[in-house]
Amino acid sequence: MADDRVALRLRGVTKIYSLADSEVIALDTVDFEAQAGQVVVIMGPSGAGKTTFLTIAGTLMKPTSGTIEVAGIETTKLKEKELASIRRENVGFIFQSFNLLESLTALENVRVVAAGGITAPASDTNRARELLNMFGLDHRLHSLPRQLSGGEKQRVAIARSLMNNPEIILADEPTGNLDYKRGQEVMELLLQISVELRKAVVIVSHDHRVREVAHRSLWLQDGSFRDTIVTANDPVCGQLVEVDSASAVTWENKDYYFCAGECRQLFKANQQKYAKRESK
Amino acid sequence: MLIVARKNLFSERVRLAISVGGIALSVLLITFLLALFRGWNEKVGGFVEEVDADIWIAREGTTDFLVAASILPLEGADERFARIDSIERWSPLIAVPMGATKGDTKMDIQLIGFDPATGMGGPVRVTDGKSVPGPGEMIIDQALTSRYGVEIGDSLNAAGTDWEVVGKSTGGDFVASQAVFVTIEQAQAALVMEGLATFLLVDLVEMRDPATYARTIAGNQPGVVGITSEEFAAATRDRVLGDVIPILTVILILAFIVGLAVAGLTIYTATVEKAREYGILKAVGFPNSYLYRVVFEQSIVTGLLGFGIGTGITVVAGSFIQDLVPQFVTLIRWQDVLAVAGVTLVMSVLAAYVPIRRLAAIDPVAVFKA
Ligand SMILES: Nc1ncnc2c1ncn2[C@@H]1O[C@H](COP(=O)(O)OP(=O)(O)OP(=O)(O)O)[C@@H](O)[C@H]1O
Ligand SMILES: [Mg+2]
Repeated sequence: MADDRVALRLRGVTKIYSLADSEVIALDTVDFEAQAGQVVVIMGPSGAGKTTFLTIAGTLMKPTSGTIEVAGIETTKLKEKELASIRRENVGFIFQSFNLLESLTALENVRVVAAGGITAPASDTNRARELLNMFGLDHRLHSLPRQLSGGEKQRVAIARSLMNNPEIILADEPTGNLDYKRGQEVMELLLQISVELRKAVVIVSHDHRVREVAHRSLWLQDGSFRDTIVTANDPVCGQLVEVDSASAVTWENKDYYFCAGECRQLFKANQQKYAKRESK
Repeated sequence: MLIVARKNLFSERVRLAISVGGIALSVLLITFLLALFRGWNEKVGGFVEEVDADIWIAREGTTDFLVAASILPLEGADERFARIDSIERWSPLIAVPMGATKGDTKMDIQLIGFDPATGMGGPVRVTDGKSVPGPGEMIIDQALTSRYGVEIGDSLNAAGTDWEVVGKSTGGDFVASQAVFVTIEQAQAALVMEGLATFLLVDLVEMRDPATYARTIAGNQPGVVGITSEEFAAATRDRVLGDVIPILTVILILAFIVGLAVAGLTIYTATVEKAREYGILKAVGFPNSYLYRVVFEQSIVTGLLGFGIGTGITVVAGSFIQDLVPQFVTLIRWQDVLAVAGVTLVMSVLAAYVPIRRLAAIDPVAVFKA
């Protein structure tokens, strides 16, 4: 299905955060490619460098070393102003906390990224309306964000990310603030976008369910991608953990893996409850 | 106006009201003080300018029209002036500041004795009654009517004489005192100034330079000064307004600072509160210049609204406040309105300056945090 065209390419990207008395290597010589029509899911534990990866890929932050190509444009040497226009034209962002503008209606939130003026051309309004209709928000066009549910807000945000018809959609924990069902809907929407609208969709998450929609999934840990790692969900907190390095408990012939000692302790205290929840 | 700017500005009604109110108050204060200054300036110097003379001759030491301890003998003046070709005509004038009473009402007046033959220094514009007072008669400035209710037919006591009011005129209101006009003979008699005058008014043949002649005339006669009409009007204004101008300037600056502070603070807090949204705009690809414009437009529109309301109130209030407080002589000149518009613009630009500087520092990466 996927095009051969590479929409996003990172080569040897390293990001080191310098703190007062130490350095954090958030990304360590990472290579990455995303093609149009593909959903790539990047998973990994908290602090693995997922958000760092996404902000660098989206040209919001410069890497310490390495190069980033967005829609065929090498971005590392560009000025902030040029990067802004690359973001505007080629990258659509979707955030965990939706990040809509509170005083603008759903329609305006989507439309604003195209023109930003007071009198948007009718074509912009039509496109924004079409996108919102496509995501089942036709009755919500003139609602303010505070009048929308979380799932609705995220759908508005997705519509906004598509407004300028970018090649790349970057989503950071898009389901993080949604319940299971709404999260599922959003994931399916992202899949639909990549396949039908031929976008390269990169989703960063530590929710293992996002893998269901992925054409390709990667595991990021300690700042670099690891191959074929076996993961499981912590039955207590739901976090994705690497089976190899996690502490495990066997109960009724099944292995359970934990993110930390606390979860393991909780599990042991009430195995029945947590095991049942996991197998659901 | 950009939609983000408009929505940010008008979605917070209370804050908008505060910042617009701050600027409006400041604009109101500035235009009002300017109008007051212009009004006084016009009134105080206006009379001297209206008198149809090029040169005012007075006793040495005389500086202005309102406080003139000048006494000049008229004897021989006729022959002296007749010898100078460039003099078209001349006329004596008496002007003495004093108190007057109507019954129990006391008022400050400038008793003016003018020569009806030339009319020089007489009433500027007669609006009611006689234009030349006869013996025992006077023409009063209209301000005495609005302030003290003096009417035609009333009797006014001044300089130990009872005068009958027979006419009214305008142009003789000096704010702190008002002109009343009698003939020079009547004034001389009442003030015991026979053969004397306060000023000699000289009208030159056209195209002569008053300054040169003023010096020449004064040079011929020791103890006497010649002052051009223009200088004399300016000196008279300075007498009344000279001490007021520095105070006025300080108040104007304070008004400016108050407006700037209120507008600046409200725009700044609005910007800080929306910092995350500005971060979002940056993230989705708006350049800094766009964000600057968003804040700048909010500031300019706030300024415009404040300016409109402030000048509006001045115009409306200025039209009737003088009826309530006679000292509130206001004159709104379009040049001043334009200047205040400029000042408001400066205020808006300055109010946006600090918030705009802050925008540059907003890190779009922060919007990835929940
Ligand atoms: N601005 C920063 N300054 C210093 N260190 C940072 C900064 N941002 C992130 N880090 C560190 O870099 C590492 C990677 O952080 P990042 O936010 O990319 O992780 P993440 O995978 O997105 O985590 P999470 O799943 O919790 O969102 C972490 O160790 C974090 O503490
Ligand atoms: Mg993160």
